[in-house]
Amino acid sequence: MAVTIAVDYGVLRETERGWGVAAGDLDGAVSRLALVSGAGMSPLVAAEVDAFVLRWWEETTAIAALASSARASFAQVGADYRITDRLQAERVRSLLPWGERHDAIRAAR
Amino acid sequence: MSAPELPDTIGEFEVLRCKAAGVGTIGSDLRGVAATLQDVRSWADRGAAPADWSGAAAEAAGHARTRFARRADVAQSALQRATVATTDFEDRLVALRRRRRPLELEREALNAAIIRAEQDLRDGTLTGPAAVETATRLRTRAHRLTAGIDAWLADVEAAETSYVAALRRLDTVAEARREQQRAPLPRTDGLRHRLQTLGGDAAAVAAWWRTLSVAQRQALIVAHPDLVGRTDGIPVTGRDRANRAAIATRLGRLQRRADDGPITADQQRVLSNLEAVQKVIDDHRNDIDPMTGRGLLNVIEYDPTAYGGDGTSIVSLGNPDHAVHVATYTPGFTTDGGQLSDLGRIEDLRHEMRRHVDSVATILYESYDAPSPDEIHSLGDVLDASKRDPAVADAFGVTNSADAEDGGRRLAGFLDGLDVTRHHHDVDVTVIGHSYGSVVASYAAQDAAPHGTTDLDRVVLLADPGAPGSNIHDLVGDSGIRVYAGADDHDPVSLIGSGPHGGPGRLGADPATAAYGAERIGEHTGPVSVGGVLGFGNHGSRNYLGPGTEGLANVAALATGGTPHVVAGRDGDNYQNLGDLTAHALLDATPGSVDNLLYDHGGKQLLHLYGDLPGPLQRAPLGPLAPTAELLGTLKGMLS
Repeated sequence: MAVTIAVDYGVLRETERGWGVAAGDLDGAVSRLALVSGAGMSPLVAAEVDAFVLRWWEETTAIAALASSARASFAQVGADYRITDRLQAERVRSLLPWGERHDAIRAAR
Repeated sequence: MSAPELPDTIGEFEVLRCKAAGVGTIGSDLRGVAATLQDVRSWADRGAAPADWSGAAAEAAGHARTRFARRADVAQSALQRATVATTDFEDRLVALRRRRRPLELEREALNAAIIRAEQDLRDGTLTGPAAVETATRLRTRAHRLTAGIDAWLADVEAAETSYVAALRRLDTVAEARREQQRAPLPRTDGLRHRLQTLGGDAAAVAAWWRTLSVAQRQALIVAHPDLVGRTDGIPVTGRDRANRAAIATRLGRLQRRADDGPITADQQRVLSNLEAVQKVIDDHRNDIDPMTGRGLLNVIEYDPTAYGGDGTSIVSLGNPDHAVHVATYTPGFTTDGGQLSDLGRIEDLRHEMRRHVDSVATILYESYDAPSPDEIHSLGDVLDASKRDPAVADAFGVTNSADAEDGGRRLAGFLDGLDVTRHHHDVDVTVIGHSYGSVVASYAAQDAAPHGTTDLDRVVLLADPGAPGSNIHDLVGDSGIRVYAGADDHDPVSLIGSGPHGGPGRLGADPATAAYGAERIGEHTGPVSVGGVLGFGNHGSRNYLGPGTEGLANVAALATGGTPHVVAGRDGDNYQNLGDLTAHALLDATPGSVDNLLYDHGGKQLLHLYGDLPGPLQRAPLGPLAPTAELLGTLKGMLS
């Protein structure tokens, strides 16, 4: 059954925009990290630089995926705040700012 | 008695396998990522559970945005710590490179002395007590050198080991989180506030910056790259690091936005600027400054949004904080600060200067509101001070000196900043302006002269359309700053300044005249062509600093403390004024070319400026035009 969240429309859209910017920024960071290489350094330094970059490229990629997923969640919220089900509504609500964490989720009429 | 024992010659010892410039590039890339993560983390933090949340832990843990913020925080702190470690490693490599050079020189000298002593012993020209003394002295030198090389090698290993250990402490997310709890990164709010408070005082900024730790500096750069990047008094290396981080963050964001859908024309212009500077950075990625071992290119200031999207920039080839001979070039109305389109000029100048001396830095200064090249089409545009068409409003910058005065103050402030960040005081500083940029340069000299804090040795004004005052004393007083002027007599821009032979003089006096008192450096005088004269923007088809030109050779000689070829200044008899030159050009031209050029270059506007159009030009569209005596007489009267 569809539900709605009792949240200010401006907050909803501003948050959606924020997740979009974050997702874009993180994608850029992932691309930039992919270019970093220890080539040309001593073997000891090169190996450690490459290992470090790989480790944090993986982590940044994972964080970027979270942001992209959050943005996608908002994209599913229609102009009438209608969301497919309560589980999805709770997910969207937890992506809103901390001050909105208790916003009511109600069954849609 | 046996021959005294000489030491063995000292074998080659390893060169640095890790280069400072390469490590600097890694640092730049990591810093750019850290700055981006900082923005993301700051945004996420604003909607996350407060750091001091004392309610149910599960409530915070269940809040997805809080979890995201915490995770981004760990990644950001790991990247920032890696940046600090990389910066420290780069600085250590620079110092190690500096230490290696005297060791290598001593090795070569000692080996030569040993070989010579061996020969002398064999020849019997070195015997007795002298032989013993020589052998003892060489053994002592060899011992000292070997110890020095061993210490150097140990320090190389220590630097590498320390760097590797710092990265290994961040090998996993859990380790990075523990590191963050053990030693939180420096907070930047107080640092930023302090920098903003000191902002206008370059000396105070420089003194304060020296008190910061590497970690504090990097934290400030990562959190506030724009602020650090534009503040005079911060060393060039620090500003370069900050500007590269800001460029990476902005470029990444705008590229993503463009990928997601249409962007505005203003955004497209900024994106174009950012792509241009990134290309310059990428093109110089492998270029090393032979004086420091760091990267050759320094981005000392960059704002792709300034002045309605024109952008501003200050970049150097070589580090002016370290170089002995520093030359700053500020181009004129054809410049486009965001695009760094005049970078080739300082590349050519640096190359020419290094024919004379080694320690060189050349700077491209485009941090003022230059009239845009796409809005200046003709001499008519430039001279038409009465024009009020908003579409060419920017062109008015050429006909009044307000922007140049402001640019001059900014340039003087920038030079003041270099005064307090450079590492030594036996520096030789030259400012070179071209076209409208020479007006900026002259105001910078005028601003610098009275208070004497700027260590400016000379200013070179090329194709200057007008300098302040009526002579060099009005410009630089008794400061000792030398003033040079270079002008092609067939360049119409250089004839705009007022002089004994006329000239509109809207921007000031012609510094190439003898009356002004500047030393006039020799410039090849190009042919007179109607395109060169009416096509104002190309300075009479003249390239003052082109490779192989007399102008470039003269300026390079000046900027390295040498002597240029000096010629007589303009007086009433030895040059044509603007009106004579224009008439001369028209007289030499074929009727068809005059017609086209007047139309293409807006010469018709020019003629409107000073009076009624001569009869032959009143037809629209213009028909074939023959330069008649009547027309030429009218032109001369209008322009003289």
